[in-house]
Amino acid sequence: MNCFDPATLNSPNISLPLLILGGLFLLALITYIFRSWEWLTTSVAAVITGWLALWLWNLDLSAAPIQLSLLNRVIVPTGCLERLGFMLQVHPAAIPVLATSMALACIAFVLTIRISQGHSFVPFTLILLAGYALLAMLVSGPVAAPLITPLLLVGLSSIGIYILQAGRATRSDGPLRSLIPAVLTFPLFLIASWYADRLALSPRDPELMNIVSLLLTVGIIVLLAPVPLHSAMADVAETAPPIVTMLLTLLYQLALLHLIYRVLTAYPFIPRTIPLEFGLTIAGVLTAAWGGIAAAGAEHPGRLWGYAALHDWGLLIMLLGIPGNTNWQIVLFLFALRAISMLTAAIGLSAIEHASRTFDSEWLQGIGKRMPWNSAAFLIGGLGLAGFPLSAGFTGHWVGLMTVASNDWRIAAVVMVASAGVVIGFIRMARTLYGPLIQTRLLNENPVGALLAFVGILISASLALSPQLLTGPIESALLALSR
Amino acid sequence: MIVQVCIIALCTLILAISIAQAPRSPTISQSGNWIMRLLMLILVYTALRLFDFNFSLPFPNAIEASDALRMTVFFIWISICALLTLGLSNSPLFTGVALLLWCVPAHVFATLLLPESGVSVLIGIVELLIALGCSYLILTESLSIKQRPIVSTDITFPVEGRRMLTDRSMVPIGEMTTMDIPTVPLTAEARQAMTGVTLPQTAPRGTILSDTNLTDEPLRINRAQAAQSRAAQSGAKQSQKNQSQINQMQANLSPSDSSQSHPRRETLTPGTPTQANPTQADPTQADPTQNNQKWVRSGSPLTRTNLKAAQKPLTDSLSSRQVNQSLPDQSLPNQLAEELQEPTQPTPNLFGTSTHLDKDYINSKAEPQQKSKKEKTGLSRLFNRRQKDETDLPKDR
Repeated sequence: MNCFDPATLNSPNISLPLLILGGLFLLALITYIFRSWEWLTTSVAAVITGWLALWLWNLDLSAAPIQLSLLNRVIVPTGCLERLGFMLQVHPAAIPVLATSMALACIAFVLTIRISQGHSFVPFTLILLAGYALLAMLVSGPVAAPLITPLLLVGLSSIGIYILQAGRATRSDGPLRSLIPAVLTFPLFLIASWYADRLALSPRDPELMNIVSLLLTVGIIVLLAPVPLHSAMADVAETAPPIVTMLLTLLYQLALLHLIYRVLTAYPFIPRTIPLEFGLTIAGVLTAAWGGIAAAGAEHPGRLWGYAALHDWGLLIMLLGIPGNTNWQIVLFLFALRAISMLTAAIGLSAIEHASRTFDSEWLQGIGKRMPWNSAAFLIGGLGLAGFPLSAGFTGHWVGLMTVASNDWRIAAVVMVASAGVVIGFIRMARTLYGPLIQTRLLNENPVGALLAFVGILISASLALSPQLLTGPIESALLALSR
Repeated sequence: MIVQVCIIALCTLILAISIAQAPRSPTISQSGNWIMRLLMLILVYTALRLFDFNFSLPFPNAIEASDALRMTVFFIWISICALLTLGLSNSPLFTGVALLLWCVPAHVFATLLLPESGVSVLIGIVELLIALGCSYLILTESLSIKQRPIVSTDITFPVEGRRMLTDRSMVPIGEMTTMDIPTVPLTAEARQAMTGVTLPQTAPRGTILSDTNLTDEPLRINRAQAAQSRAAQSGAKQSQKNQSQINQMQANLSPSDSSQSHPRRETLTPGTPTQANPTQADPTQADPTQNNQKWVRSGSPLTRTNLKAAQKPLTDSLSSRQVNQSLPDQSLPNQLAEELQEPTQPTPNLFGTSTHLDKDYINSKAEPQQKSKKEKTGLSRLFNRRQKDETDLPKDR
């Protein structure tokens, strides 16, 4: 490890991992103290995470240390932080993950300024953000960095329980079930790391390679939570605050994609010894199909959104199973569109949930007549997860389906039918939202909320019409990951 | 190893504290009954014995092969138990226990295979986080149990929850603190005139306080018991003290003739003009009855707080069973007699036991150490019954 030695500098130094983690933890502590002043804490958190996202995206690791004259400190971008034998460092492959995580958190904080997602949302999210940043910056340790990730994901899922439940007197199935995949898989990864160490001593041992491949394949598939381990996604979407659901789902799945990339890069023999692609394809087909079927019958807006996201996630799992490096570009493209669609839907859904008193059917009926922009945002975002034309997800789904169909057209046909199920579910929801208004006491939507929903719709429509807007960032991210 | 035991003990303590703090309520996610669980364990054990998995776990060379084999079997057994618990249950408690069980072999492996690596510390931290998260969900589950939808195909046997959810009068104890709805105001004079006796000072903890049996039922039974005792005591030998009390009660409730059947019973249907009480047809003169009817019929729930508040003036003024010697409103005992004829609807509580009080049951529950059965006043029987009902219920922890 070519780690920068801070002792060579005369002035006090701060390594970048320490700055990021320490700063986020400190901010979490402060915001927790002032958590009742939600407007203030979310604003501050949004500004800081937004600035961090921009700064990290434009960070040049080869540049000289950054002098902080105000604090009389020097930030060393390549500096290391070592604790418990684990070494953290900001490396090029971590930057896109860090920047994306910060950007997602920033957007979530901005949306939370208007509609509260719970007093503890900001501090706990900052802690989670620090945890995911730690995962991205982890470079080495007594256990290989990718193989310790599931254990850390268990801890992060445990912390996420609090903001998913958010003190609501609702079912706790979703937060509870979100724990299960990571808990089930981390022992497999630990045992695999032990065998991987043995494999380093005898790299041609086929038995060791088989064991490592089997353990990691099973672990990856379970971590992806396909059907029948999928229930957390729909349950969380039904009961948890929508913006929290969106943020935690995307952060977890981003970390998971990063983990898979690192595992497949570190152990390239896995696809050769174990039919990983076959397993991922089957898991993806089942997930996409069940997501579509369940969405067609879902009546709860949150659950419908969750099943639509499950369907989209199934397609993404399928793309992971297609051999070849070029598919990672499609995977990242689809994930970016997925993030946009979920974000747009979350904007609308949070406003609808707020106005309809947690999706009370009486208040939900005809709410689109009083909240047209937010209802439209929810519908467009949800349809984007199904790849509906003129929505953000259309191009991603189209490219994904073409890629899948090039291997087996029947699988693509199954996904198409499942997408139709999602569309049916949202059409029924549109009839409810824009049907006869029952609660005439319902107020018109807030102008700021309508503006946010309009921005979400605008972004979705822009990406639907010009998907090449994402080409540059995705290629940069892919280039950074491959370093 | 001691550290691991301490961590698991701490996790268990965390879960136990949450269970202790959460009000006892039947969870909707029951993982079957004990017989079902036992059968499942027997099935799994038989499967383990019948099938040779030929599965080996990695162990360091320092551990002997026989010990490694035993540990392998033990860990597989623990893991299967954890998976069974996960599969059969959906409650935070069982899921938390299952996840912790699943972590135990991993913790041991991390200690054995990766000594002094820090992984063992991380697993310990993660176990604590899991326990904390599940304990938090245990607390929130107790608040949300009434709002859960019933899933007919749920494998977790939602029998208790279904029974509770189908009856709106079944309110979990934990929700009582959130239902602090003011009851219809009661004045000490009104109740004294109605009952002539005191109520218990406080409602014991754990009492299920539903709408009817707290606001309406006690008062109905009080008056019913009073009227019933008049009829029962007419020809019996009584002690001087009890006779005095009963006479006072009779004077209070039915000044006309306590030894006969009540002539006004069938004439005092609320809101109906009657021969015996023609003034009731006059709205201007029927206010006491209407007011009485209002608070007797009210279905507002009475919480512990409100019950105490309502009882306090009564206990202050009627602590020694003093009967108000002033002439009571004539409509009150008549109304009381009317309600004696009307059978009260049984009100199931949370655990399905009825709080309906019938005459036979009340007569059979008289206090032997103070009075004979025939000497019982209605209220004492009522209290005995209420205490019996309350002792039947699990106490709020």
